[in-house]
Amino acid sequence: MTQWSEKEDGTGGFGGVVSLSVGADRLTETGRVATGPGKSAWGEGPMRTLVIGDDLWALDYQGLSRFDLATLEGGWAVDLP
Amino acid sequence: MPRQTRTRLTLVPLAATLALTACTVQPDPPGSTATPGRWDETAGKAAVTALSAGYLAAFDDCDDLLTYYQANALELVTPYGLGGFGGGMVASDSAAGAESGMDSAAAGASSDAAAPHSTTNVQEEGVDEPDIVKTDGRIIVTAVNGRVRIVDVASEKVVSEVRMPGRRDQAHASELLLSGDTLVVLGQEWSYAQPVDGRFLPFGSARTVVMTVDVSDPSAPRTLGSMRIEGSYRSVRLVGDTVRLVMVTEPPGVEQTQPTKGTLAAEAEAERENRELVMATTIDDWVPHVQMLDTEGRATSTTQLLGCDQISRPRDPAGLSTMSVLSFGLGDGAPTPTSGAGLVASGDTVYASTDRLVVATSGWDLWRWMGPAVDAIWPTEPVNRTDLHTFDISDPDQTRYVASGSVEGRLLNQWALDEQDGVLRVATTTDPPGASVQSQSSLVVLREDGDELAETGRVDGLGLTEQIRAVRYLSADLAAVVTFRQTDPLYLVDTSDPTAPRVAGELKIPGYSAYLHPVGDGWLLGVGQDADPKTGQTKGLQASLFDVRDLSAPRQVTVLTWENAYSMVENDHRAFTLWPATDQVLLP
Repeated sequence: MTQWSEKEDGTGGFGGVVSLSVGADRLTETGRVATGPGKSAWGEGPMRTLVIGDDLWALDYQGLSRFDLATLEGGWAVDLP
Repeated sequence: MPRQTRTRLTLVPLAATLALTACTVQPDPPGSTATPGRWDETAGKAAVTALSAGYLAAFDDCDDLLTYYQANALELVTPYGLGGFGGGMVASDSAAGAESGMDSAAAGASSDAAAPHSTTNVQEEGVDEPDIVKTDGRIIVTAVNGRVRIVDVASEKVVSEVRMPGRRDQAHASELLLSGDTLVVLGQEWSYAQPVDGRFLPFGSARTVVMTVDVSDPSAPRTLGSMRIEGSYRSVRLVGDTVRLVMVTEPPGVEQTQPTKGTLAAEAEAERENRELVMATTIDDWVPHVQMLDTEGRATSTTQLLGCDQISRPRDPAGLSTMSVLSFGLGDGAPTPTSGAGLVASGDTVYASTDRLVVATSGWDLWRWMGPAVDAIWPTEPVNRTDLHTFDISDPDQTRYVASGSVEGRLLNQWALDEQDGVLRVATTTDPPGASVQSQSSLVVLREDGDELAETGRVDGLGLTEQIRAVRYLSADLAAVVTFRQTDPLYLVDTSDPTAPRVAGELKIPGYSAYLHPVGDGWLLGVGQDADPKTGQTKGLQASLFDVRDLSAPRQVTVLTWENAYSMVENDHRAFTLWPATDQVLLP
C-alpha cells in the first residue's frame, strides 16, 4: 500500500504491506509493515508480496524485504539495483 | 529510388517448427523483390470487403496474403504515410548468456527442501500467468529494472543474474514463468533501423525475446535457448508444460515517405510514392519472423513465424497488424515452436482457460493507428466494438483458430472474459459518443457455432452512466460485476441459463471495488477505493467483505479504509496474495 502525505515535504507517507485477516463474516487489519530501504520520503509501496514458509517477502523497484508473517518483524533484505 | 533490402534474412527450414511447417506455405526467399505495377484490382477490392459468409478465411498462399495486406494499406495510406513513426540507430550483435557466481557461497547455503510458498494470483486455476517475480520456495526470481536476478531464500543473497540475449544488452526483461527448474524469461527489444532517402518506418519496431533457462543450480543458471520474434507480446499463459504466447506484429518492413514541402503538389507526390512503396512490398515486409538463437545468443536461423496458410483474415478487415498465437513446450529445453495460428488483426486483451485462449481486439486499438480511416474499413461503429477471437489450446501440441465474434462496447481487462465448455461470457461497457447518450454495461453470453461466436443471451442496463470497474466470474452460473461513477453498484448476475442471464441482486455502496476475490462459499473480498457518494471523488484505499450467500440481497459486512492510499492490487491482480494457511490477505 502506498499512502501519500499531505505535508509539503512528503514526509509521513507510508509505503508497505497491509496484512488483513479474512474469513466468513470477518475482515480485520492485523498489521502493516513498511518496506523498502527507507530512502523514499514519499513512501512508495511494494509491487508484489510472496509468502515462503513462515515469511512474508515484499518486492519493490529497489529490492526485497523479508518479515515474519505472524509478527511482521523484519526489514530490508536484498538490494536489486 | 532503391528499396531498402532486408539484410541477412535467410530462410532456413526451421527444424524446430515441426508441426508449424508441416502444413505451411512458405514465401519466396526474403530479399526477393515484388514487381510493382500490375495491381490486381479485383483481388484488392475483395481484400477490403467484409466476408460474405463466415467469420474467418484462411489464405491459400503468400500471394493472397500479400494482396490482402497491400489492399488494406492502400485504403489507409496518406501523403504522410501509414501509422506512427519509427527511427533510431542500428545496433550490433553481442553474445548472451547467464552470469553466475554473484555469490556462490550463498548458493551453497541453499536448502534442498523448498518451503511452502505462494504462487502468482491468477485468473484461472491451472493456467499460470507471467509476472515480475516467481518463487519455488527455494529461490526467488525477479525481473525488475529490466534485469533478471535469482535470489537464494535461505541466504537472502543474489546468487546469479540471467543475461538476456541481446545486442549490447538492449533486451529488457519484462516478465517470467517458472515451471520446475525451467525459467522462461520474456523480454522486449527494439530495432533501430533507419531507412534512407527520406523514408521512415511507420510502424513500431518492437521485438520480443523469449529465453528458457535451467535454474536447477541457481548459482549457475544455464541458458537452454532463446528466440527473437518481430512484434510485441501481449501476454503469455502456461498450461501444463505448454506455453502459449500471444504476439501482435505491426508490419516490420514497410517504408513510407512524407512531403518535403507544404504544397499540394508535394502532398500528391508523396501519396503517390507511398502507394508505390506499398505495392512494392513483399510478404516479408508484413508478416512476423522468428530468429532462433543458440545458447550463446547467436542467431542460427531466421524464418517466417507462421506459414501464410496459417494466417487468416477476420470477417471485417481489422488493420495491418498480425496477431499470432504461438505454442512451445518446456520439455525440450529451448523455446521451440510446435504450433501456431495467426490473424490479420490486432489484439490487446488475452484470456485463457485450460482449453480456450481468447484474444480481444478493441476498436480503440485500431483507432490509435489508423485514425478516422478506420471507419472506412470497419463499417459498424468500430471504436465502440470489441472483436473476439478464440483458439483451441486443449491439445498441448496444437493451436487451432476456432471462432470469432463481436460485442458492443469495450472490455475492462482479462477479467471481463470467461470461458467454459464453449460458452464465453463477456462483460462490456458501452460509451456511445455524444453527451446525450448514457454509458451502460452489459454481460453477454456467446457460444461457439462453427466459426462464429454467436450471442445466446445478454443482460443490459448495468450501471447507467457508469463504467465497469471489476468483474469476477464466481462460477459457471454466477458473475459479479462492479460499476462506478459516484457509488458502487455490485451486481450479481445469474448466468445459469445462457439464453437469459439476469441480474439476481444489486448492492449500492460508496466507492468501488477494482478487484474481487472469493474468500469462501458466499463471501467476496473487494479491494478498491472509497469515494464521496455525492461527487464520486476517491478518498483512499478500501477493502470490503461482501456476503453474497443470498444472491437477491448481497450485503457489505465490513469495510476498511485507508485515507490517501492505494494498492497495486487495484491495477494488477497479480499483486494480491491470499495465504490460506493463516487466512491472511496481503495488500502491497
